[in-house]
Amino acid sequence: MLAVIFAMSFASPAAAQDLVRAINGNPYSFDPHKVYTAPEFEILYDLYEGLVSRNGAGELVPGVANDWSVTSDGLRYTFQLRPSAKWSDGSQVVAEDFKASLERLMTPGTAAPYASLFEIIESVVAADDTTLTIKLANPTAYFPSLLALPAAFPIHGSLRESEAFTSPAKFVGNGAYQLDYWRFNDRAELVRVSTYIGDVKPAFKRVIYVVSEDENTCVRRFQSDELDTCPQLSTGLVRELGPGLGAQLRIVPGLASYYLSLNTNDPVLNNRDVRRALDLAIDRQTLANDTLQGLFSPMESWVPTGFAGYPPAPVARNFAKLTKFQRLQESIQLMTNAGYTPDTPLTLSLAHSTLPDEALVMQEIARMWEPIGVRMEREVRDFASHYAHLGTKQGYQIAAAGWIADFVDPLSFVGLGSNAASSTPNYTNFSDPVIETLLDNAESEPDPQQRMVLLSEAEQRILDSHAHLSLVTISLISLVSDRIGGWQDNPLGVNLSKYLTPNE
Amino acid sequence: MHLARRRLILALIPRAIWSVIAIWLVSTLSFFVSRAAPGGPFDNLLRLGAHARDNQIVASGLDDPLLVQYGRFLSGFWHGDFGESLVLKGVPVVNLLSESIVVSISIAIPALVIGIVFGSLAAVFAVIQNFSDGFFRIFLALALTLPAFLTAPLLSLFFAVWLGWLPAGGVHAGLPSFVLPCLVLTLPIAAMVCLLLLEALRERMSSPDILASRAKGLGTSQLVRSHALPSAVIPVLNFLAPTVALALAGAVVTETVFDIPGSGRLFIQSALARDYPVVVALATFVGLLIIGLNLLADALTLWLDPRTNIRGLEP
Repeated sequence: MLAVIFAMSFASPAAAQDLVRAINGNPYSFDPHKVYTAPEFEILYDLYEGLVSRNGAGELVPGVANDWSVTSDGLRYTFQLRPSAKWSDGSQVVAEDFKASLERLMTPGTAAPYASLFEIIESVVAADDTTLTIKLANPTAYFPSLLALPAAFPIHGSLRESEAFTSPAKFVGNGAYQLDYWRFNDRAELVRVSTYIGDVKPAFKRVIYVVSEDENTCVRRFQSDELDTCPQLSTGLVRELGPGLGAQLRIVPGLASYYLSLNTNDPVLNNRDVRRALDLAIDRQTLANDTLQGLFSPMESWVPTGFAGYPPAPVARNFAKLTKFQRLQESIQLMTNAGYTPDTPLTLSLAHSTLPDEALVMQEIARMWEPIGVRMEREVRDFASHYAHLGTKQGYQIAAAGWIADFVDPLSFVGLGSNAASSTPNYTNFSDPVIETLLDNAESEPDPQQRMVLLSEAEQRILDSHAHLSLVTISLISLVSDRIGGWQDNPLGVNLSKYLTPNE
Repeated sequence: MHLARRRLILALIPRAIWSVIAIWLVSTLSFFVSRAAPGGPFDNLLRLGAHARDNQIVASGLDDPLLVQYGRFLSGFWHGDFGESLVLKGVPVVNLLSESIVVSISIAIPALVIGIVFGSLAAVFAVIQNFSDGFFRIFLALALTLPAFLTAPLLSLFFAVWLGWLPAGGVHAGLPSFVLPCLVLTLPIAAMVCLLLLEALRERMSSPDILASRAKGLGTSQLVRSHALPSAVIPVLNFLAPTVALALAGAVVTETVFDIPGSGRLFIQSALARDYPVVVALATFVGLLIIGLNLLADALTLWLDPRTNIRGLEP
């Protein structure tokens, strides 16, 4: 009996030419309309290809569409599809596949987490097998960047009505790799598709995504050469590892940030002076340079740097010019006026997740707020429960959150501060009609430069409201073995397996 | 002999009836407790607004009154159908369970066998050789009290990262994959078996009948084997019943540290994801194991030592 059990457990020992990538959580689906976590995205980038794709450096490149044109009003996109684009069953990927998939995405019954980003689509027309026209309600400069997201991937006709995406026998995709094996808590094995024709020929025959949710385990397996990559390590672990891993340790500033959302429905936090006092007392330099050991950078604005053409003019907090001492002085004064001192402190609850870096930062902020008369009660939940809790917008006063841009446009961050943009979650009840008007105007603004001006005005309003407090820019910290070539660091953290090669 | 067997079966019948009731209680309790936990399986959809989550709740029948859902669960349970996972769309709970249990068992069984064999041998050896306690006890105490979250990473660091002899995780490298997780599970089992047997053997060895046999000239090793061991095994059996059940049910820490797709890790993740059907099915399975193995231990105890009077066994 034991022999049988062991035999069943030996699926396939990794061969030398396999690429073995760790993911820090289980994928729960391979349905492009259901996924929303980083591990799911990573696997789907290998299994599918959108009209538009991302190259090794994370930049937008043609995908299934080898060319596209936009009308001068920015409203009508016409895509020319490659006739050579094939599904893994050998049939051709046609314009109708994209049309039917986008319609599935927009059907409310699909309950696609990313559907709202695509609400700007007015109609989709497949004129013939290789011509697809998408008409938008508003000129949307970042639209091609949306089309590179998994939500815009085509879904094969046999799967559109089905939930059998995790079954390798039934799976059909159009990416460089095809699903070959999947087991919960274990691994997803992908095999190179022989009929795939794209910008490169994938070097690895097999890509194995190993579920390793404990970062310490991931690093040990990396050090014993069982894994070629480890995703998103905490700063604490990086310090423990020291310099031993050399260039295998990759640190790149992401289009991502940690921030606090203050619940303005709360009678105390509805007072702008109290919110300003809290904002003033946070020393972002200390957070980034000491607490997070200089691996993350302090945020002096709401939108992280790294978006081309943004901001058109500098955006900064209205207390940026004050010294640390002056800030603390003003903060204490504001709190005293509101009736709070270290002897008669204000008690605030702060909800955050168990992510090591997030927990570290929150601990430090609680310490920074002590001298201004704030006593923090920290409510810690596991990652999923924390964000589910924030989604209710109730039952917390201050919430810690992290955000990674889904598309390369400042709107992906400016939208966080407002209820107007349905594309991004706003965890507070804070709403400002001025911000909403600015975002509405930006949405219909045909001139890209003017649009950036409107977005930066909205960003300034968010900073001045003190309802959302940005803290630090998150760095993407990963391990990439020196056995692997072709890995290019990029702020979106997108690294398709087809661009990676074995180093001899 | 015939009479003894009849007596055994008669004594076990009420126990068996209670076991069935206990299993029903465990599944019922886990059904209601899992649903009482805050949050739900579709809370991630809240970012789309409450309607998105509520659609899924309706589609999965989670909006029905709890008693209606419970009725559905009981009827499924009766037919051996635990339904589908709520978060892994289209995946039957039975598949998730059986796949993970096979993995957990393939680590637990060798760990138990090795643990019992080595633990017993060490105890018998210690009694025969009349070991002094000091050093031996320190070693046992260490093996018994060092938690898996300490031993597992240390063993992994030493044998996988430094020496490179064994894999640091996963189950796909064949037999070597199972060595370290097995070792982590074996240590406390071997230590506990050894400790219990040592105590029981020492006590038996100083009992009047054994002292009398010794006076007749029987050697220590023969005394241990033929006189002391059979009854000294009883406390070990009582310890092993729940231990075997828990080991088979999966070891959360060991499975996480070694990236093993076993049932312990499945249980934790299903609980965090509020995947109710998986949580209830796993809890029921563990309940079944513990109760079943306790029943077995009772039967063995009675068989080994018919004088035993176990509460509920004797009329």
